[in-house]
Amino acid sequence: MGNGRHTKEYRTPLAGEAAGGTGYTWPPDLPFGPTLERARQLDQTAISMLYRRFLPIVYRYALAQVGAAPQAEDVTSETFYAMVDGIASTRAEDESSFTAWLLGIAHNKVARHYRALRARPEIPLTLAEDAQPFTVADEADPQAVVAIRERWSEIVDALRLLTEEQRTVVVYRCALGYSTAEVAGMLGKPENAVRGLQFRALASLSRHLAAAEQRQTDQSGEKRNGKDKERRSYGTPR
Amino acid sequence: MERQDRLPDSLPDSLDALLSSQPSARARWSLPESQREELEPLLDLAGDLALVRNVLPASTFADDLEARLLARARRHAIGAVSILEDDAGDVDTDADYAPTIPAIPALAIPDRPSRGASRPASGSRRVSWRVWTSLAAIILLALTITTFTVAANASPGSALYGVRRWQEDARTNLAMSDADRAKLHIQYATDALDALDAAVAQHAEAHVYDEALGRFTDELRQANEALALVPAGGDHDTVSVSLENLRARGRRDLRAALPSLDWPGRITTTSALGSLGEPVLTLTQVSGVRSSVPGGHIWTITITGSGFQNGALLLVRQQPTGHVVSVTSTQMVAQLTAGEDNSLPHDIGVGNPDNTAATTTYIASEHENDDDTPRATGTPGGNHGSGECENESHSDDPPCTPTPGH
Repeated sequence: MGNGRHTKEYRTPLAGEAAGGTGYTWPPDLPFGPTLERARQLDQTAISMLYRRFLPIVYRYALAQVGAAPQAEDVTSETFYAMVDGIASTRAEDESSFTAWLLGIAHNKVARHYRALRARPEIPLTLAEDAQPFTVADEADPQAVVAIRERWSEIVDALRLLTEEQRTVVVYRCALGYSTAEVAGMLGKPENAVRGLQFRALASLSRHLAAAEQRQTDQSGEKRNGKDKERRSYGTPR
Repeated sequence: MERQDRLPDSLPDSLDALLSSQPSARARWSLPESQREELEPLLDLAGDLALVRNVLPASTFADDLEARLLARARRHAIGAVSILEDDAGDVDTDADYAPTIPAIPALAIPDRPSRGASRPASGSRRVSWRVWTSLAAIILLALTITTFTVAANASPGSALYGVRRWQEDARTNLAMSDADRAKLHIQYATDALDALDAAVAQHAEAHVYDEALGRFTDELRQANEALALVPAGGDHDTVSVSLENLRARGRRDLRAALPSLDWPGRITTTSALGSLGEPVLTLTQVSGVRSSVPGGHIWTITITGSGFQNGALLLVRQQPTGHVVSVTSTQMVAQLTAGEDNSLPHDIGVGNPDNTAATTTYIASEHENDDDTPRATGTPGGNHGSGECENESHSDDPPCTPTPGH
């Protein structure tokens, strides 16, 4: 849990907040292009501004994909290292294309994270109790924290079962809060296609979650039945 | 909320509209029953996902990462960070900087022509310089590997044969023992002899044959030297037998090659045969006497040595010429029309009928005959080099006087 100062600092919405968007947009009096150009020249202030602007987005993206805070922090770190390493050569020129570029890097880092997990099977894919993602959350809404903690692990597992495109759309759209038009722009797809992908993704996600719940119910039922049988076989103690 | 109250008919569009506008419960309830049943769980699920939007990274992590990023950027700015460096302990690949999924429209945006000019000392140039340097190093490495691979099978006469010889020399230098070194030399000598045979069979150019022969004799000599260092015993005997077999094969092959060679080739091959222990002709001394004849001068040349055969030819500058007056197994007397400067050629040799040949540049004596009467001794079967003298005579016959310029 942070000390609060930085939480507020990072969460302070900038001017020009767009409804239905990420909640953060670039200040209108500071055009994105010149800042990006200065960042390309490795200007410290510009890099810092980009970092603060995109840290929540990258972190949330990572969290939605890997589920646990420590892993999300790893992915976030690697993504920003790559940003600094490659910013001089990026062709992005506006906020949208830069976001797409940065999330593309994050996507690759997530893929590498899962490759590493597969290469080290001794590390469990399921989350430990103390590795739940929300070490820092919306302090004003503790119920939301509790609610999502209960279900988040299942959602992340189910997200992995979606197709690449479906997962990207649903994470961009629902977890990061980009508008349909923004997602369409970042993915280079028509808005209709994004809407279709979004619908299919959520429907598929819902089915996977329902199936997972069913499996859990069946397993708990089997355990209960097993205990009943055990009790019956031993009989009632006299 | 008019738009929310009149949601589109299709489910994806309705879902999108509801997600976009954060519709009220009333709007949800305005959905047709069939749509509501289907969309409600999806909206709830989207709501669960949307809770992530309230999540923030730990401030300690955020501060620490920012500090490390800025430090990294500073090191980039002074060119002190390799693009392969990763503070997280991992190694990034270029693919990480060029994400493929999702598709990025920005990648299609062309660079502005003036961008490079406006950033005279940017990190991109340094990174680009490093990338190009790395690329050049990789290409150089690939070329080197390719060259060495191709050179391993290069034949004598080819441009890469020198590289092959260098490789083989390096291998023999790294041999673990003298016996191994001797075996390697024998192997390379065998390869060279194979190449020599191929050059003869294919009537290859002279330099191909010469290079193979040179390599063969050189490797054979080194094999012999290495063998001398091998202690008597199993290895020594084994290598010795291999070496002797190779020598025998060499003698046979070189003999067989002689008829198809030109005179310079025969001379080098005869020398090689001599180094293989084959009895071949040798020259020990040449002396010449110049005599005046009508219209010019002639040289009476006496060559001493061993292994001369009846029918042997006089060779001057590695080509048959002159008139052989007499030949014994140890001496040849021949006559040669003097050149314009009347001097005795310094490259004189003998070519035997069995195609062996030898030359020498050692002239023991060179003087002028005072009585201006050339004397020559002939021998039955004496040869006509350039046909300068038609008379053939025994050593005690009267002198033959070839006509200059005949």
